[in-house]
Amino acid sequence: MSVRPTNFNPDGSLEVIYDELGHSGTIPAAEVKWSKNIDGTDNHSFIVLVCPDGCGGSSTHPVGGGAAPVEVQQMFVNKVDHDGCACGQVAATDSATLGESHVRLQVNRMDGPGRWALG
Amino acid sequence: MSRQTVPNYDIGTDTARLNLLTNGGFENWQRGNGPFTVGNAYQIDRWYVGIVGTDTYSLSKDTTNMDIGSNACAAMTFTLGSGGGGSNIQQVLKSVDENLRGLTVSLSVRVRTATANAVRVSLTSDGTGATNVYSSYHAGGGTYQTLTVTYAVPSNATYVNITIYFAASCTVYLDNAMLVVGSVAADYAPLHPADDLARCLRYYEPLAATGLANAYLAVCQAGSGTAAFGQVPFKAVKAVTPTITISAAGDFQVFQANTVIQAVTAFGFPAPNIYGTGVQPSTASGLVAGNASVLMTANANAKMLAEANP
Repeated sequence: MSVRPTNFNPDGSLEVIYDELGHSGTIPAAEVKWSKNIDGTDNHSFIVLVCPDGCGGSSTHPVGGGAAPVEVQQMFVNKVDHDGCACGQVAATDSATLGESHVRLQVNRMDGPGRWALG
Repeated sequence: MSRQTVPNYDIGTDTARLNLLTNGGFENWQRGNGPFTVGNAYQIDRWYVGIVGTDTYSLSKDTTNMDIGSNACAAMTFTLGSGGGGSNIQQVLKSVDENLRGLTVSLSVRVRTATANAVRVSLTSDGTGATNVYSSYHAGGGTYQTLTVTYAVPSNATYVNITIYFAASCTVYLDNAMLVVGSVAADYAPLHPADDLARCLRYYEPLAATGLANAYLAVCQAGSGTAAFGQVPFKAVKAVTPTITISAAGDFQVFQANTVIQAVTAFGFPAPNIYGTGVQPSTASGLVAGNASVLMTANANAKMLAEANP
């Protein structure tokens, strides 16, 4: 029951579903946003998805996957590959494998080894 | 009287034993009572509905057709399309959360349907030598029958999958699932409702009082004229860092120190973890840096949820 990705498009946009209300739609890549720390800086461990239906519902997903491990971890990998990471350690121009390694490290730090759900 | 040791394979099914499942009795429906029709999602607490191909279903909480010793069951109307018997309701036990490596486990599920050869249960996992073992199909007839299966979990398994498969269109009632260690399946032994719910809260927890306006959520401190910060602790420690989902920001309000209410215009959740989450409600104006405030629901639509699926 979250605003969660179901499909990933080549342009970085996401197909999402909001189980709670049965809403679905597309979130453009520019609207797949890092959450903010209290000081206003981006937090590379969380992404906020706002329901594209306009109902105002939103989900803050942790890099570990939270409600939907496979889809959420893939979303982080794609986000880092598309935009680079908010922490600055990975640039958008870096290889996709570097971004995935970075996200996997974050997953391990957050929820421990064994949480990684991607192949 | 001499002491005797009764091995597992000799004990009766009516010997009450520890259930390894969460919400095995299908008693807890924190996401609502249905009807649910969306596939590939958690609907009943901890039970995931996996729909294959063009199969469809409607799933609801049922308090009329439950099994003996139960307050509710899961009622499903299933329509077979192209799924070929693959559609299911399942509960996955991840080894990092609930480790069954190297154990022999037995599953029993109470199933009622009038359609023969439509429903069966299964245990499987990954790991060396993993296989998929199935029970016999329910014979039909419209009465509750117990479907059982036993499985030896590989020593390197990362998960064990408990699955109820649907192979033909039918109306089916599911109740009282029990997974135990040992080669003898056990009759369902209900948990105290407090314990039953506590298990569910480990994975899904409504943080705001559902359906209540003006329910207090958290004490906050204003950091500026438009933002406050507080913490919402969880009732149960989560299995993993959860996703936090909220309904519209306007479903919440902040009670200022001078008792004036301000509508929430935006939300932030700084660094949720397995114990709780920070909350950062924003308002258009009215807060005073350093003053205390209270985050509340503004109407009955307000929802704030923590969901952690291992």
